[in-house]
Amino acid sequence: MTYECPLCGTDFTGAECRPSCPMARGCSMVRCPRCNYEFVESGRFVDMLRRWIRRAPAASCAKGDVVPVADLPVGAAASIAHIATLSAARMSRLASYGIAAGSEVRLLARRPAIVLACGASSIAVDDDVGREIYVRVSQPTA
Amino acid sequence: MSQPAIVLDPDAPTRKLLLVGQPNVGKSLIFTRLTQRYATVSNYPGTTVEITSAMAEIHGELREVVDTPGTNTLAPQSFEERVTRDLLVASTDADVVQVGDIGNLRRTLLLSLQLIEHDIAFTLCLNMSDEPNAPAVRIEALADHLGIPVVAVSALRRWNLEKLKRHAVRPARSAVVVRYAKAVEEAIAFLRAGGMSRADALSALCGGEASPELAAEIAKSRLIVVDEWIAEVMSETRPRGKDRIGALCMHRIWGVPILLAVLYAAWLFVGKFGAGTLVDFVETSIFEAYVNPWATRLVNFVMPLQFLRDLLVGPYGVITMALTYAIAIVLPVVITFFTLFGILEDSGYLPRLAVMLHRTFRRMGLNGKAVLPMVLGLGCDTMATLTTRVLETKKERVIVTILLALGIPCSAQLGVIMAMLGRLGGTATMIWLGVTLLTIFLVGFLASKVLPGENGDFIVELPPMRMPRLSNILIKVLARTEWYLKEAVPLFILGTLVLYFLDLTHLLAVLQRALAPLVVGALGLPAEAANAFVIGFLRRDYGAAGLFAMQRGGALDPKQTIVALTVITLFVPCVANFLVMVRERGKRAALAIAGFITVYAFGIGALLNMVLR
Repeated sequence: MTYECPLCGTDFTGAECRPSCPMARGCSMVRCPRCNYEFVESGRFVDMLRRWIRRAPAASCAKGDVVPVADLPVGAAASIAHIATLSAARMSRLASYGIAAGSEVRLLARRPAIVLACGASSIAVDDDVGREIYVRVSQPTA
Repeated sequence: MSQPAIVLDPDAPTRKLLLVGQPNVGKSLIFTRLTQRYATVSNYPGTTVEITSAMAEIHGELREVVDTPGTNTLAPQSFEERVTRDLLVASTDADVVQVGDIGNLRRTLLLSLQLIEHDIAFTLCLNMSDEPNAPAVRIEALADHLGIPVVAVSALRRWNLEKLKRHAVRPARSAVVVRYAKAVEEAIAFLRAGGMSRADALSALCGGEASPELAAEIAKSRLIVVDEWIAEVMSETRPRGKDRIGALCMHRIWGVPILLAVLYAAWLFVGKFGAGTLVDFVETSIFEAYVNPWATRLVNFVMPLQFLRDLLVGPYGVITMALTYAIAIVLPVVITFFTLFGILEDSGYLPRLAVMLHRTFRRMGLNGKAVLPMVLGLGCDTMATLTTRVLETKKERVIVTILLALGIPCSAQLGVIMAMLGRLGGTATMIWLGVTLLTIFLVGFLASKVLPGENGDFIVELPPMRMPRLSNILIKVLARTEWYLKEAVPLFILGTLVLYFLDLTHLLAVLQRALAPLVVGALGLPAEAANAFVIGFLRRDYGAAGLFAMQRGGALDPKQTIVALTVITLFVPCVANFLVMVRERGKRAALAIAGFITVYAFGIGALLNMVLR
């Protein structure tokens, strides 16, 4: 389990406990190994809610990076570098919509499904499919 | 919910004219323009489920014009694509017209290239050239590059249709040959040594078991050729405007209130206006005031035998029951529903609904594509069961077939249900909706866990949102109403005759007594509600209409109405749906599904009765 300290921002894995603490087992407090700040471990539901409210920001990409199309910021355009699928049928299905290596695509939406504009078509694909479409970033993104 | 197709006669001597193209490029409208016959036209991929054909004179020559299901590729991966490919391969002497969207030239030419590789003589028809964002394409230059006739038309505004007819009967074979990367050419040579044609070898290399690297090479080479053509014939590209409404319709937050607003509008229009105002008017002011009394007087005057009088105007009479139910109760509801459905289809909202609901459906082992047959099921479950063919895997097709038969009421039935709920109010509607939705999710979720098999890919094209055209909606409503009358009225009459003879031979009373422990005991309904369930098997809406009549007559209290509605919603689908289930899924699976549904529907009804009492 990885955590981010809400006080100093340190990323760390595993909750460190003081050996002397009587609640060493089964407590839901997490202590930052850098600043010793203690905070409550959030549950699955809270995590889900937080992810839903604060969407994961798009990864920052430098020009020339090859990233899955799902990692582009919404509205960004890029050209497809390759499609990393093991299924020839999926490859051909995407190609029939013009989605193949060399094509320019623009990410229109990430949720509730990945929506790509390719030429004059808008195509919605599942996350799994979107993760297999790798694009070469033409403009750096924040 | 498309029109019933005209059956193709393979031995017909007339030369065929096949219309092929991607979904949603206007093939069906071109078909209508060429033949003056109606084929369902929608802003909705996959409308043409069955093959529609009609004879027409094309530029002085007789042709059997065939509207094929939309296809994206000639290396078929879905049922519809296979149908179109097989038709193309089988009809070697047919004239072929490829219909494409001029605004989407790249995809159009990708399919043209495959037709060329299959050595098919064809004419390219670039439709939608009237749209404001249609690019400027040098048609003659494109025709020279491809080596085939190319015509830019607008089926909607009837532009250039005569020119299209002239070229359609004089197609040409292109001499273009695409050379692929060395590895692909070697694979083609290997397959050709085994007796395959070049086109079949290419299709095989793009199929399920092939190497994805070779499929990627093929796609890349084709796109390079197509992009070169486009660069030479298209002087300017006009990007399509931002589809803000389309984006809002599938927004993860704003999409929900839009969906609720659509449902509320549907309820107001179909449930309140259609099933309330219109039904009241037709039933009370026309049938009860004029038609039935006049018919009764006339029959009593003309018919000497009581037996025949009862057959026509008795309690189970053809006029007083079958026609009153079909014309006065169900027809107004069906017309309003078809109008609403036509607007939704033509606006392009339905594929966006698929995107909206994709994640929810994924939890049921399905993907958003299953929304389309499920929504079509709200029109007609029988047709929707046929459209499960658009789903890629057997597992998905079986799950959707079960859910359609179990939890999706058809348009006629839904209208009657809405009318009954309209009289009960919000709480009853929420209970009915809650039980039905819970059933769909629960059964879908469990079926996805129990049934073996894989899930298909979710890759769906989103057509631009368009303002529906009144003329198209009117034609669609008329065509579907005609289809409803032709299909439903004979079955309503048959159902009434069955009831009449059961009543005459006192078997109805025996049946009611036999079902009494279930209907009266477990469900807490009056004994005559058994009639509705028996007859509901003939047509779902007929059963619901029987319950509606009971409710209007005061025979059902609100709690009984909720129980009866829930059971008739979940209960076995109509006989036509059952027969299609047998055809599509096999006798054993269909019987198993029907058996499960019967037990489940009455079980839930009994449970609801216990909870509500």
